[in-house]
Amino acid sequence: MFSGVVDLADGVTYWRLWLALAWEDIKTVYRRSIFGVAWITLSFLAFIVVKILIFRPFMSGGNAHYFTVYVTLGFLVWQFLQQLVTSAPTVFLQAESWIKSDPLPFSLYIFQSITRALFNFMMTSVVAIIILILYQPSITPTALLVLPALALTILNGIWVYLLLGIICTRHRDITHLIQTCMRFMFFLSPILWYPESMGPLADYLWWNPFWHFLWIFRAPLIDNDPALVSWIFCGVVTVVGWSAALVVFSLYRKRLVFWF
Amino acid sequence: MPEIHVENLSLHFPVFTQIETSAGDDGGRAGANVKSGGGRRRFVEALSEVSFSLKAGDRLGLVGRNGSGKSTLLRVLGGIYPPTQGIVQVEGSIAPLFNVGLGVRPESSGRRNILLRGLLRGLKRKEAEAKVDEIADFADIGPFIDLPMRTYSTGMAMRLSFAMATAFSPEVLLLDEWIGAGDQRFRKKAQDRMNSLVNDASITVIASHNRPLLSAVCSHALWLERGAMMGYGPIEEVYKKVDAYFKVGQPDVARPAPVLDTAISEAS
Repeated sequence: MFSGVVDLADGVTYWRLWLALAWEDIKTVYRRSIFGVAWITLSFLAFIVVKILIFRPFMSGGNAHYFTVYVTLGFLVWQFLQQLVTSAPTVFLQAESWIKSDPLPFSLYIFQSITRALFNFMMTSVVAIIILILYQPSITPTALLVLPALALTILNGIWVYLLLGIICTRHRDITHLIQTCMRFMFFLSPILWYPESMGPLADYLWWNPFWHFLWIFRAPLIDNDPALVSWIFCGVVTVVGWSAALVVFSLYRKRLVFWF
Repeated sequence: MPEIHVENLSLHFPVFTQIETSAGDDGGRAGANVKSGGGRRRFVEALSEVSFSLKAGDRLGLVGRNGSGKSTLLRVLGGIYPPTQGIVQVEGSIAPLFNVGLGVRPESSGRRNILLRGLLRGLKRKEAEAKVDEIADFADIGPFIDLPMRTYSTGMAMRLSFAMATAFSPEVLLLDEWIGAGDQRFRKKAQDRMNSLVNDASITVIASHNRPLLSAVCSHALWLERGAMMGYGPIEEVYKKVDAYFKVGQPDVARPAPVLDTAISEAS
């Protein structure tokens, strides 16, 4: 348990380096384009507009404005969760050149990757904020719960990286398995559909952790609901996930460099 | 004061990839040994029972054929590979320089890379920025400092990497092969820089096939053959041993014949 904690603590002290590396990553993707990082916002906006134009007619009887806000927030949070989960397996593989050249804490590369995902989330939330202003005038102070929800999501992101980063460097098939699962988890999570429209199936889908991470963001914003049950669910996921990740990471951290 | 203490160091690389092994005897070919450690576990024995100690001001040259474990030993000293057995203690701030292009961002400018290297060495942003001119000057890359590193020639990238590694007053400098590959002017410069580091009481370990370079820079040498120590001491004495050994033309018969070529031990 201990060596993993030391690695994480060391990694935090390198904040200047991982912030700079994350920014290099972002700049590299958008280098020599005119709109630069604005593409993150623009592409999300286009995506949302198209999705809503296509799916709104199916929401017969429902409140169209409500659906617009619901889907926008759903996609916003899902994209963030998805980027975290799908980047986690390859976090150490992508840092191979650095891992082999300098004895740095491995958590540094995790913080670098999460910073990148968070930056994308911030850029796309601009779209969500505009949609909220347009279609959701009745926001209450409960909405402030999205801030601790974001913090909890990042906290969970770290253990996902620790666990998947280690396992997937050794067993490459798990990487592909996770990419595959995330593709259908999108449909099994309440992003495009309402729980009540799923009938009895919703009772099973409720056990999907993504459900609750979506809920702690969305419920305070659109239903004025603190989503207490989902908070408890996410809290349990945090404790269990961190425990498992710390054990695995501490046990196999030293072997990582032999697995490339 | 920097210090290096290595005792009975052995390093095993696990082998995951299916490899074809030849049953025949390949005699004196260089390279490490592949062994089976019970069941299906296989590993390359990259280093076995290496021991030596270095103190401030020492300059050690690592000699030996391709695949003898020189680069691996450097990486163990640099904290990249944890030893399988034995003790490795390295005191002092380490500047590793293993390969050109390792630990740099090819898409980022030389300036940004210097900045990143500074942050990596624990400097604050301002302190790292203050180093840029000095490093660019030493590397002699002129206006290329603001172009992405992928546009650099091999020589430029090499000079910049060396300048970055040595600029932040390292106490332990670990250099691999390529340092002998630069042009004469750069080698002279690099040699002067290394000598000045020695005066600052640092430790330098260089792996190289370049005998004149090692003789000029190093006080001691460690000779590796298939991961084992064949000689250790003042550099001229070690070279005498090497010459005598290869003149006899008897490949090491005491050790089991290798079944893997250099490439695999280097690639793992």
